[in-house]
Amino acid sequence: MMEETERRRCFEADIFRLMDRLYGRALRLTANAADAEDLVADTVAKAWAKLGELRDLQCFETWLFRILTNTFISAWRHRRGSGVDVAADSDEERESDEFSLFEQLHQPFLLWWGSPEHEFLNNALREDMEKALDSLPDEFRIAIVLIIVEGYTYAEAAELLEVPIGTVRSRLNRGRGLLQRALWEQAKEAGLKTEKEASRRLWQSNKS
Amino acid sequence: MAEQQILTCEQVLEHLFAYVDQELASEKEAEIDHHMARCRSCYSRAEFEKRLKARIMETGLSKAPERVRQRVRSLLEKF
Repeated sequence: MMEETERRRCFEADIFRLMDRLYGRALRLTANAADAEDLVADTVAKAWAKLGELRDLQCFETWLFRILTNTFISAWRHRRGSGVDVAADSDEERESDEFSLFEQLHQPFLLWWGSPEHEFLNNALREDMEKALDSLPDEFRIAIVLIIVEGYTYAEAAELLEVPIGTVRSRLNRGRGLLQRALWEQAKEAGLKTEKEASRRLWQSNKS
Repeated sequence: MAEQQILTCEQVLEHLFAYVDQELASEKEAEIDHHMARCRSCYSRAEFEKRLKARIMETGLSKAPERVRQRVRSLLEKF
């Protein structure tokens, strides 16, 4: 009995120690606060139910996050059913996803000082990153979250998603292109001016 | 020892994401390292992608709202 109480106490302490990371990853995977909350609760319930199966307590953290990821992927796959895989679009659309923020930032600008890419990343807010990430189609967002946020290798992500490694690589690269395009559009909406736009405004103000 | 292949910028950019993710075989990685040491443009591009990656990684940590903590606390009480 004492051992069971101690086991529960340790489990609880570990869960709360990791709570912000659990919630953060759940939020990025689901792109939705209500679903993230459900995912965290489901993960904790599953982890407690399976705790006896964990042989090495040193691996608790990795094991817990793997439960979170698997729980999300199963629910997502179930919800999606046999729907269209947006990652299987035509080559033409694929090319349009090859967007490079770096190349955009290295076009001539009027208002840049120093290094444009450093300026851009220093000025990008965390909420800009979250908004851009959450706007991506599921397949691309999930590939980015698994590999960049959660740190899985391409092979591990392929295994988790039950797709070939080439599919993971393609989704990740296209997702990065779309993410960079979204960040670029957001920056423009927030007031970043390209040389063309700035010249037009200057020309209009000189004319009036 | 095999002679190291000299890569063009285009070839480097093809593998850039895998390079940043440390997913390349060691031989290819060494070829790209070699190119990076001599090409300011590709080096800057790789540094930008690494910094952007780090900013994306940061989004994986979010302060869990009290509501979530309370829900988990209630759940744990039932165990």
